[in-house]
Amino acid sequence: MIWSELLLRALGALGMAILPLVATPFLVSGSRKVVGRIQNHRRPGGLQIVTGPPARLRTLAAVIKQLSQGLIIPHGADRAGFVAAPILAVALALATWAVIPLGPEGLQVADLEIGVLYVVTVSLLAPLAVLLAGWSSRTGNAEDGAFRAISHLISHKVPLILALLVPVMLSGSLSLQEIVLAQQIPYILPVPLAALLFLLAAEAEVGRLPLGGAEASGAIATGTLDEYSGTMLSAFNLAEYVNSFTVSVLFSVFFLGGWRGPWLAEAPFLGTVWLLLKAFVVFNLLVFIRAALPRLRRDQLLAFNWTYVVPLGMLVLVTVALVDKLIVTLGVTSVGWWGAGLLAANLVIGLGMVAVLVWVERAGKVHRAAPGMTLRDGPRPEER
Amino acid sequence: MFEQIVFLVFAVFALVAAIKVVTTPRISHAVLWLMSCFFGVAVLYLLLDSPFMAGIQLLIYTGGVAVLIGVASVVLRGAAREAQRRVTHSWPASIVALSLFLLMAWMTLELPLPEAPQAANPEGSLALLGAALVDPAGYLLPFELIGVLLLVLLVGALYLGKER
Repeated sequence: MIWSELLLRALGALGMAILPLVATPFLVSGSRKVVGRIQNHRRPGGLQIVTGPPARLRTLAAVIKQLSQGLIIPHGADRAGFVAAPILAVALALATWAVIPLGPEGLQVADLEIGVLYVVTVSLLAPLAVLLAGWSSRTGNAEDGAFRAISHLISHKVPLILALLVPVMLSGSLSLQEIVLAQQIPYILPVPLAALLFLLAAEAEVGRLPLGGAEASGAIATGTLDEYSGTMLSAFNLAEYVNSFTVSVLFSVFFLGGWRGPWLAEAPFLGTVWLLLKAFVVFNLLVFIRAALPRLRRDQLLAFNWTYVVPLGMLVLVTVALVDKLIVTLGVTSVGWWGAGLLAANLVIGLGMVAVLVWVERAGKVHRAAPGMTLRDGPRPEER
Repeated sequence: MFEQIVFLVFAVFALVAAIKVVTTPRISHAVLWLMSCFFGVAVLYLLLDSPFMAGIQLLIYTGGVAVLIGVASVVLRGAAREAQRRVTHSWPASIVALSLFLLMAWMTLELPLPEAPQAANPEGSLALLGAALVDPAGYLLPFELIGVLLLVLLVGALYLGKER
């Protein structure tokens, strides 16, 4: 390999890693603003007491403050693991960006043939950072939290991977670029259920509010990050936000057509704009959901996941495979009819699922604790 | 030249990590070294032009096995906390390990190694691999058997884990 090409690649990778890092503070302040509007508190104190430079600059100040805080390693913690955990968390959060196609040609760090596999692998490693954090803290709360977080993360991996298999199947490729190229219509139209499952699982994965039972600072004694403070805690928060933005970008790539959009032939760089715009809309949707809905209890989440979401994922996968094959066998070549057929199949399953949920709710079976849950997970509803 | 240097660096890294796995006293550090070893091997696969193997290596070994060991030792907390346990049966153990090593070394040396690459690495080798896995003339039977084996393991684990 030529050195200049190597240098260029290294610079590209660096830029790609910096992009989410730069975006994060703005996403944090932006999402706080949105949540503030929804919850009706617009500025701190509710009075006009803020003087000085515009409040937006406070984000910058916050970043500097977070970065300049010290590293406190508790006495008795496993030092290597304790420091490695936040580094691993941030590295894994950024690693996914290597395969995200920002535009039609070349605007991608690496167009891996195994792109989806890479994404899944990186997301599968995330529990490791959590585990490491909880483990090396060597306190009860953190270790309990790690175990809790891991059962949560691994449970939601299953529907996530099942949902990801649908675009892979439809496009016939594991490369993210190929998947974008294959989307003559965004996959959310023919397979909305897979998109919904992906969003649900991804939301639970990144630990945002309604589905984020792994870390709940308000409800259960924090958890994994119990012993973390200062810059290392900020690193975890950064990783969480980057992850949240990453799943928005991934959702756009897999289901919203990625960088596809109008006027690409004239200006290829618009692809990046379209992709980030789509990702921003999805991110905002996640923020809305987070602001509008209360947190679910962990056993509710896991029970819902294993009893409904995972079977639904399997059902969607098998149905999409069969219907896709059927349509191709029938000799339909127009994308419109192909999409309509898949959409109809999705709607039938979706309505069936709603019917099942309504029936279960009427039968009064919802509020049962998950089998195998003990009091350590909080009192069951009937015992309160 | 450059790739060979990287290859050597990561080969040494994987070996050092593998030695560290068995010499480090804490099980949590052993898991970390194990992961590093798997990671090093994955890089070697990548340098040998088989990205799929690299991905699978990371997915199954680092993402699956290492996380599983980690979870197991969090669940079995005593084992994780305990300092290095005194090894009492070191002589029989070393004899077993040595004979296993000699057996594997002998097998490796006896195995006829191909002089040239078995096949070129065409574009879309992933699709070829996928087709071979579901081709009745290819690897369909072993593939399905592995599926059944995993299902049996799953059911067995559920049975063992069931509260009675």
